[in-house]
Amino acid sequence: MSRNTFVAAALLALIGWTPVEAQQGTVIGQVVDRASNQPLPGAQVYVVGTTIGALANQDGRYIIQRAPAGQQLVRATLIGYSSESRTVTVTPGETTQQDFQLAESAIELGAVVVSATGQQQTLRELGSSVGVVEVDEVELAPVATFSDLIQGRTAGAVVTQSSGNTGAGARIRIRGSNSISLSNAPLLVIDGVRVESSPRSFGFSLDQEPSAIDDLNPEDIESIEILKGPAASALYGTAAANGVIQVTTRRGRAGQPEFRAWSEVASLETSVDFPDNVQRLDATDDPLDPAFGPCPLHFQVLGWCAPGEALYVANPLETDSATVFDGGSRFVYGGSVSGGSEDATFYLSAEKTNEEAVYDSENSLDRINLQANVTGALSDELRLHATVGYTETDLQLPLSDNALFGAVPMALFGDADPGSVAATAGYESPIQFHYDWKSFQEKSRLITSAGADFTPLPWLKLNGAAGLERIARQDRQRIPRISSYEVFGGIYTRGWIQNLDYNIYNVNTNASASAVFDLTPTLVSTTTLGSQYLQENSQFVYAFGASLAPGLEESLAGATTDFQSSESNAVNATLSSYAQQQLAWRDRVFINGALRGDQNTAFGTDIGWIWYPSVSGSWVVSEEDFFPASDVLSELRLRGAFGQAGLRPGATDALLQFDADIASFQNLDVPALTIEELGNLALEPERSTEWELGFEAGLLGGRFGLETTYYHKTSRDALVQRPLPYSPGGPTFQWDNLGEVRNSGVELLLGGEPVRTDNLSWSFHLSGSFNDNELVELGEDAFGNPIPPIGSGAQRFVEGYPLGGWWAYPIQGFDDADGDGLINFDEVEVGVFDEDGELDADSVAFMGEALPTRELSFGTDVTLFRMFRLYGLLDYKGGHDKLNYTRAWRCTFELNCAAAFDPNTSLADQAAVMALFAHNTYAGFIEDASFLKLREIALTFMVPPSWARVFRSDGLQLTVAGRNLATWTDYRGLDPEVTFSSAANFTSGDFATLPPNRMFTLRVDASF
Amino acid sequence: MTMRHATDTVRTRIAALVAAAVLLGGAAACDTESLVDLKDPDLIELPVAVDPDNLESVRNGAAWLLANAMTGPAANNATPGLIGVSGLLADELWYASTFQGMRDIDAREIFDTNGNVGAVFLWLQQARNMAEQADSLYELNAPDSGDRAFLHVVQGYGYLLLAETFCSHVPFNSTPLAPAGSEPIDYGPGLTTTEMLNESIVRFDRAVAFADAAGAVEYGHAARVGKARALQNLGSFAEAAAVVADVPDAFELHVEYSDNSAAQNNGVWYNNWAEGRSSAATDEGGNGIHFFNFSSSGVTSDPRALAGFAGSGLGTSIPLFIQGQYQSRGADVALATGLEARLIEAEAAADGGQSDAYLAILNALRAGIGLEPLADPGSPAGRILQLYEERAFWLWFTGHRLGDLRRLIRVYGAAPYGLPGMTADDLFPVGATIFNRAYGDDVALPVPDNERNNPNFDPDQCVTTEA
Repeated sequence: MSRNTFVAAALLALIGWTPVEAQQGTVIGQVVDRASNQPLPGAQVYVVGTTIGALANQDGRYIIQRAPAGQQLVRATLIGYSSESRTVTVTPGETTQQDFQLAESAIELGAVVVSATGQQQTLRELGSSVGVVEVDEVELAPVATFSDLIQGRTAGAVVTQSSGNTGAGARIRIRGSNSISLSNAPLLVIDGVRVESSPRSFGFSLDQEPSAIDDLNPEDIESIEILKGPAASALYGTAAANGVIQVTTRRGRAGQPEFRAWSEVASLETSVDFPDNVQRLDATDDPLDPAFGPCPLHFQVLGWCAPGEALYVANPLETDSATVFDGGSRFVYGGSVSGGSEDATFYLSAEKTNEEAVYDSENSLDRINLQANVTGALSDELRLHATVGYTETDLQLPLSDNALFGAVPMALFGDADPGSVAATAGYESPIQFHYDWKSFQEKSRLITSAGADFTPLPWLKLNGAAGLERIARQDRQRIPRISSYEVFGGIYTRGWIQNLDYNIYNVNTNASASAVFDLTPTLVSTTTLGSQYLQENSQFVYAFGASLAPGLEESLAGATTDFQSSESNAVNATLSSYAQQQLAWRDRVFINGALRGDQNTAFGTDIGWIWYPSVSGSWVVSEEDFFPASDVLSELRLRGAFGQAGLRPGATDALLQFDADIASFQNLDVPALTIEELGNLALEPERSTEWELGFEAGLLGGRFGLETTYYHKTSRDALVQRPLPYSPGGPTFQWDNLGEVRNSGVELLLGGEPVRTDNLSWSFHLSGSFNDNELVELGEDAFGNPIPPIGSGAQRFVEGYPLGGWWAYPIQGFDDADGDGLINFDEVEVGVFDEDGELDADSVAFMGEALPTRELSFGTDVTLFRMFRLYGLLDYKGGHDKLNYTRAWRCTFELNCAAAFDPNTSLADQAAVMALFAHNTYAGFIEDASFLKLREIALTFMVPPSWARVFRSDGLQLTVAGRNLATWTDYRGLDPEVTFSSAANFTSGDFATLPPNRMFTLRVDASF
Repeated sequence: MTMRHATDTVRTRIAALVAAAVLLGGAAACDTESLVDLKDPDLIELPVAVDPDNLESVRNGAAWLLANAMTGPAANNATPGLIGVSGLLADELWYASTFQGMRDIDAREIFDTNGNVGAVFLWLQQARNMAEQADSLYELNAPDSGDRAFLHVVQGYGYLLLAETFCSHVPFNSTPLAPAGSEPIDYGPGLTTTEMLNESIVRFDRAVAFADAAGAVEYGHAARVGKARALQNLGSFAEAAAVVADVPDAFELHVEYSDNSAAQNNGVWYNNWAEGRSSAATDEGGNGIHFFNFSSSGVTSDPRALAGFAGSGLGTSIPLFIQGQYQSRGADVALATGLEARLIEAEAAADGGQSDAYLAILNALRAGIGLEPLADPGSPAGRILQLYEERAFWLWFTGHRLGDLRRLIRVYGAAPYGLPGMTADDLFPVGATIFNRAYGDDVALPVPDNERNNPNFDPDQCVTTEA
């Protein structure tokens, strides 16, 4: 614990630790569902205007000790229900009973969220929009990862599963991309501990890499709160500009121990038909003759080859004897036990997952997740809690995408002529390459936290917590000692192995004090002061060796030559202090103001504290006397928020630094120093400012809920890797605070339960968002000259356009002037040419957004006879384009797409090929990538209790589920969702990527 | 509770919180920097680099960067340095793999966004700059060291190689060893090819002076060969010959590589032998030199251009020939040699009309490896083309060929020589490439588009179709 934190906690404890001055009583009662009268475990009941409260146990019963005497407003809240408040007269030394009947509600103002301070607030008190994802067992069946779990479940969070490789991560963006050069992935906080969430969690370059966020076990999650931007996440300060995903793991509840067991069996299959490879060859057999090989239309029109008669067709991935796909499987076994008393609760769980990918080998995942959470009350004033989460992962990843020896690229880029098919079964290179190149990851991850909530007085609550994350990870690649790579020369012939050992320690501490008191009979003040300290440490050690000894091909111990090693360390610390003030007027108008100050290792020496202010307001206007009582509009809350948050640069980015190289000089191997980074002592965090306005409305007596938010986010001092001219002979870029990025948009969430009878209920949610992203300006260099656009490839950063958008020389037109049915060089017009015959660089044009700008999801849940439940999720993403590199390569460079040889190929497609071939523009291959997917379907049979008791079960459910069942799109590639290098910030092309798989799952849930 | 009581309680609580805030703020204000001021054990900062005890490590940095510039790194899909890229544009190599940027170079249609060309430009500039910065440290701490001769040789070759292979109007600037932001870079405009060559001569002259003073004989010879090469490019053949007169036949200064680590490997070997991406070429685009024969019985080649057939390139069916110049990952590159000095003398003889002396030099070199003597072609143009074919073999895969082809056009094809057969269409590959694409008309590498961030650089001045 930092000295600050300690001082703050001790001081506040001291001032609050005074003898009890007021007499107190006890409030007890039960919280039940108004419609069914069933108990509602987990409901929160608290005395408004104090820090005193309790959780309902498994029977819905609660006990509030030490309630202040006198008339008190007591409120019960639970996610999915309208909160209910009752005035209770507490008599000193006596027990008062107050029961609650909560009505289901489509809007959830009563949901309790944990803020960055560690203190709890209800949604009705917050002026910002917070996405709340409830984790339902039925919805877990079609879900394989944490990323799947949040996909399509909250407005504004765009999750793209870009590959079908087992273990591959997803791209998560909340309210667009803020940063050109820094990661745009959100922060992840588990039980108050900020943890590693890197989307690129593999040490070697693979286009589909695991994401650290998917280590989480969805089964262990109680709730997920998504703070969508600085207006909500300002109290997280530096690093929170991309939003925060807060995860609360399950807790035990007072009552008899509840045992749960679950098991899943799933089959995985590829979701697409792979295209044929088609070729027509020239007649020559002289490999030095340029005409040798395929003779496509655009060579024919140039007179470069004369097509033979035979049209060859091959398709290795759809050929039984050649395909590497044999279907995958997934097995999950898990169990948990939870329970406890009013003084102590526990939750223990264990789960084992085994997934074999759709490949016949080389891609699999074994994972064990363990979770233990305990809470205990040492006294009425002091409650302790501790969590331990442990994950052990054993992952094997295949080469894929832009790796030439991956099975999919080798198949999509293979030749079709009989000679090639005989030699390599139609793959571009021997398929043995796919099997020889092996990539592994073994990871142990421990996330643990312990804390205390101390309530010495009804008006004062002290909170202290410490968390530790420890990751031990080994990433390994190897090829065997007798390898097919022999054909490429000596370096591969004897096998090699390379290891990267990662050790990551992250330490969090947080201490806060929150005081609640009545300024007037109708105005309640809550003041919170606190301090946080986060230290991140990582170290990796690299080792390489070749010429593997027989019998030692899986260990560096077997390497006998070519030894290499290196080590890299990174340390970073953030010290924070914060203050938050809330004013609650008549418990229906809430004003929050907060200020957080951060000091960070990364800021160089010229920067001191960085301050992040926020302010928000919330007004539950429907509780006002003047609000007309109406079933049509039964609840209405208006809200607005403003806040700032940051993104920090790397710990050493501010510093001029040198690289340690090794030179050969005068026949010696000698150390060499070269300039690695220029540094920038004025480097500051990127600062995002957001304001938002919105409302929630309960309609038709709470059966329907509507939530709408407009946000406007501006990221200034954008941290940019500013490209430098090469002529000074230094580094290629310099970190700088430049420019401005804007994101603005609208989020909408409509939910409800149109039908609710004893035998039939139907609920739905429709959530969607639109985001407009723009690089407002890039800024100026040291001499006042405007910074030119960043990037020169297909994705660029240009003022006035979205970040990382698609750019290309446009095809101005095409015309088969000679009427031969073929498009020649001269018959396609591309860009604008200057007087030297060169393409004018300024004629390159914006072709479309690279990331989705619109998303819409529709989830629905139908329950019949309280026995059958059907759940489905449709997922739409649109407003963006994708560069179909796969088609471009097949039709232009690899020359194996059917269109390249078919005289009936449309002139537009011929023009696209000719434009790329002759003028190096991908314009004809940038396609609309909007899509609608039937993402999830789950049918659950809730076994009647009398049947379940045969198995000694209190509850038994059988679920059949499917994932990625259908896709509707105009995109012409394999799948519009695929992205090679999905962990990268903006890369969004499709390059021989395996589409997300179709998965069918059978799940059994039992409780005892 | 009375109102008075409530007010007192509020005051008490506010007072307590204010006191807490003051103390908390006070605690935050004192010595918090130590909590975030962490030390990264990997960090090498300026004081270490400028420490006189580490002079040699900074010098070695220049050596490493030059080695990187000549062949590129030994890594997957890495750019094969100046030798590989300039050889692709000329007729020494063809590209046998899949990457578009490399195909563009081979096809003589290069965009300024070409990352492979950008890498070579960057690496040459980095080597030059590091040599300049290292020399400034030597000037302060070891002004009489022979290492200064080496560092000026590196600078000289930085200018010379950029002049030979890139378009006219190449900018040169510096990255000082100074705290970031303390000296904003004042970018300069591009230098013409002639200006670059003259700048290289200035560096080589200084190198000779430092070498002579310190007894660093090898660096002196290398500087003389470099200076003569620059003079050749300026058309001053007699002066060039005079400069190298004292360079012994056996002299060689190597850019060194090693099999000690991947960072020290020869990237041309890796790109060609290990990965099979770039191939040794023969008869490329019709005009290319016939370096070797290929038939069903195998490859037969001149001993100065050993090649072997290795199937097809990585990911293609394009024939792949491995070159014999660098047969191991630790093979050195000859930067300056006595052999080149003799070839410079032969060119001066040809230029001076001394055909006997010219042939005598060439045939003496050939006899040394058992080759038949050459006959006099009988015309000035014939001698020049014969000489440049000899140079193509003797200096194969050393980064000379593109400069030679451009010199033929720029010097011999222009007044006062005006020799026939000295146009780009006569000398560079034309027609269809090995991967079936029309050759363009580039004869020089473009200044990369990153230079557009240099406000004083005019990209229109860089014309890659001019020699």
